[in-house]
Amino acid sequence: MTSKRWQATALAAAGLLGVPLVVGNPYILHVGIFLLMYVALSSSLNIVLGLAGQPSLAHATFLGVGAYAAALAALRLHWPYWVNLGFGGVTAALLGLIVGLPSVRVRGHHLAIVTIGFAQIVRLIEINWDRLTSGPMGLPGIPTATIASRPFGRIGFYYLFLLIAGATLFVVNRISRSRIGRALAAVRDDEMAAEALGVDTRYYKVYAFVISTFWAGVCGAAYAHYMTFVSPDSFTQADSTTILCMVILGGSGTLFGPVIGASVLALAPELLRFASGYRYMLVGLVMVVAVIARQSGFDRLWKRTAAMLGRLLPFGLRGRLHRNG
Amino acid sequence: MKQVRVVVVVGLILMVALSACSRGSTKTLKIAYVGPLSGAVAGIGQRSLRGIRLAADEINAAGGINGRLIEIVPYDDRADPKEAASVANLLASNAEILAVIGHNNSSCTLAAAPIYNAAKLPDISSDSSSPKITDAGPYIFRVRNSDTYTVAYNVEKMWEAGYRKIGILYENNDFGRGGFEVGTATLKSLGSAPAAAEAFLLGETKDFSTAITNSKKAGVEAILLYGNQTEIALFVKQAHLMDYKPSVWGATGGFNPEIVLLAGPDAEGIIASTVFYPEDPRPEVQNYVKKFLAKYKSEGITEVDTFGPTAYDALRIHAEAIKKNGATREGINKYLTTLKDFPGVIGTITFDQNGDVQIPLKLLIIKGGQFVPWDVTKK
Amino acid sequence: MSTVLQHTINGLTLGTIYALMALGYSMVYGVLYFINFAHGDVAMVGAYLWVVVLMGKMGLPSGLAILLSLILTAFIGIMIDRIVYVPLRRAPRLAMIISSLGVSMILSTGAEVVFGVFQQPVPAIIPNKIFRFGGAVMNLHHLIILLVSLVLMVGLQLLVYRTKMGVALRAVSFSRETAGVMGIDTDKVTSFAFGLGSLLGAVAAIMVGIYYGSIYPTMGATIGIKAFTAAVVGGIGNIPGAMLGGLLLGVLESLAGAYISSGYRNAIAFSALVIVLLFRPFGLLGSTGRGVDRA
Repeated sequence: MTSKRWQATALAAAGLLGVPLVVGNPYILHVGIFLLMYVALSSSLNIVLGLAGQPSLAHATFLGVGAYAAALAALRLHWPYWVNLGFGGVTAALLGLIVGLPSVRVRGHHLAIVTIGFAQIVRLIEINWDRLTSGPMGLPGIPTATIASRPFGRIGFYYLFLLIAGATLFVVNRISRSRIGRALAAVRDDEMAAEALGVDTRYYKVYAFVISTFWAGVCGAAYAHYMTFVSPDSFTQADSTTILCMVILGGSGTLFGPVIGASVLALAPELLRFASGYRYMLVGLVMVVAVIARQSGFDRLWKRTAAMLGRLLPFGLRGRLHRNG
Repeated sequence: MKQVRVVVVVGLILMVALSACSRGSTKTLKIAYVGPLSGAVAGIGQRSLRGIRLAADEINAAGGINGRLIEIVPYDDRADPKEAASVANLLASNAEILAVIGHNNSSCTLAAAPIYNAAKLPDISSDSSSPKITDAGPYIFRVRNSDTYTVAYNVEKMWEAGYRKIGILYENNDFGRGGFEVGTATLKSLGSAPAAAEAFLLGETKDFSTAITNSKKAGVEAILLYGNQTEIALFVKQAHLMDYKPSVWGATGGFNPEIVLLAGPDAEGIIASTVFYPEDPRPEVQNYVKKFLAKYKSEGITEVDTFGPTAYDALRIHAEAIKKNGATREGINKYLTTLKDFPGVIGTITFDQNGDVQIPLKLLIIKGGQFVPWDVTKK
Repeated sequence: MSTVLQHTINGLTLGTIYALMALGYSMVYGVLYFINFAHGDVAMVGAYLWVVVLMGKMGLPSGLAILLSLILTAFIGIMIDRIVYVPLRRAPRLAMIISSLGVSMILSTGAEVVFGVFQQPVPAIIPNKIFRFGGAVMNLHHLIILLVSLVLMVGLQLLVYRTKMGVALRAVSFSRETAGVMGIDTDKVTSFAFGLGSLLGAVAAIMVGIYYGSIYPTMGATIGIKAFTAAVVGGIGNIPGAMLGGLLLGVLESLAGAYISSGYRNAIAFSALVIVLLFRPFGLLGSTGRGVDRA
């Protein structure tokens, strides 16, 4: 990396690390925590969606699986949080393996349906198998994470999620630069050709699923210990769709694309709270405009809008618009 | 890399902006309301908010509390526990918020509870009925009966009315399943079991044909439909379309004039239980009804719902707390923990050691499109 | 035996509604190769236009109101394509999915803001008449829904296989470029697909309103995801496939709810569909891109 890039990275890292030391407001820290969680989630989904090109509409389900695994381990087996992080990840990865297997045969939109079906099934198990999950009432009272018998607090969880987000980005980076990444790209771009060239597409597709869902599970475990409460309605289809949007909006397949997508879609609803009823309408509008802008380039979008407005406005203003556009 | 820098800078700016944000007028007494104001179940949030605003306006018209006016700050949790937690954090960190009324959905209250407890911010839920809220913490109270109380009451009355083949139809969420479990337990204590038990998904199931067919086959005479008014209306409509007319007991969800609107003549005979109904001759109720209709007539509202009165009482309790103990979170909480025999629209309110209440229920039946008081013995 | 019949009737009624909605997804996919997530919400808008605007505010008789709302919804579908999707014609398909999700949010939130968040009651325009046979009960509602759907589906088949526009539709879905080169106005065909798909969706939404007695702003998502599944299982882009998928889903859901568990009924129906996809990865009747004429 060039020295300029080092500077930029250092600046960003310092900024991120310093946040909890500068900001005292718990709400902002909370938003920051969720932002980091979504960064981790969208990055991990990026492995399956962006690198391997497999559409998965069930990522929030794996978050939920990790969360429930950690919650149950903490409540019933009294395992400490750091074990649960791994346990949540492994449980989610095992289920990721199960979902990854059909991906071998099923492609594209059809795979998307399979993942949706899987999500529905897991959600219904969460709701109905109450002996295990306590059903729709959820599991309150999960012990929070402690270090040297002091509770993490928001600052602690901020750093935990920062660590997880950093880890997922690191993993994505390493995979994309490695031989595995090239194999995944081959699968994504032209699966038949890849097979013809001897790439074991089955192995790599399942691999992508397992790695991706492992990290979602780790996030889930952290989530469980942070919120100290899990219930099925925290991990809905809408949440999976949101994470998908984050990846695509920011730019699937790139390293920082999902980070940007997560930033926009996690922060927008909070920033737009003042708009009350219109909030999600504006979020939708942001999505549409962002996608069109990215496609045409922000430049062209501005010129187009200016031209459109110019046709509607009287002469004086028209000239002014054109001068600036 | 440039992207990252942009994100970081923008983020920093936003953070500064946000922390400077909550600088409203400090003269008012800010009480927050959190509930579903948009999304699939937004109706209940909007209704609760009406009750709260009615109480606030009343108090403010009389000069406020010690000269300061109450300001209601509404927030939307979309019935999503994650949003509930976000809002809870927002409120906890805003020192101007003295107390909270929220949330409607039990899972949202449970998600937000740890945050309110940690921040020592007193919260009264006007609508959460899950038994799990009993243990939600020292700063969480509610003016709504726990499911344990409501369902047990209803099932016992169904038994008293002579029905032996009882079916239970419940929402597959915390509200419904809590009811189902308590119902089954109550029937067990009566030496019986549900003749049929069917679940449905809140906001998703609109088609009850399966449940109807199965209940009909099992010979169910009376059904406890533990859900919302929408589902109850849909159920009776479809049941009658399929020529099946059991006695439908809607419990709390049943007492909602929207059922008559949605189900028309099919709504006849539905039995509801409630702590509040507008024709209740008690003077507190009649006063409330008069004031409610007067205030909201201009919005085209002609019916008085049950979400308003509980929220109305919740606000009045908070207001009384401020009057007695001053405008601090701790002071308000202290008052709440010792609340006894508060004269509410819904009845006399006393918080037990867990912040729960036990308000006596009344049974009503739909006759001629209206809810009329009903006595089991009359059957 | 009579209960199986009863559940099947219920399932078929539900299924035809899914089928009509699924057709919308398939038609748009057929010409553009993307899933229009806003489809369910456009249909919802159609139902609201019918009940609140045309019948309610303007006091039109229900039949005329239905016709007008169908035309308006078709128009809305075409407009959305023009404004939002056309700029993205060259974009990767994932981008179009995002924008359609954005449109979906705008429409459903917009409906909440404009029409209110509460359930909107639908006046009962079909009288309550019960027919009994074989121990099962069928209502006039069931009958009308099934008949109307049948007529529409047959009509659609005729349109696709017997008219010039139908040929154009099939040509564009087989290969957009070739069709363009052959002189077919692909933009016009695309608009037609959007319009017709939205119209069929509106019919489905109106039927939901009549059958269940009420509509609500978020109904687009609820029915949408099921209809989308049905379309994919039947074979996305494939018109008979969408019909088959919808009916299958309706009947499966009904029977699963009856004989296995009503709480799990969605999960069971979904699992069954997933299994179908495992054996027939391109859907039961095959999807476009592999040739459309698979009946």
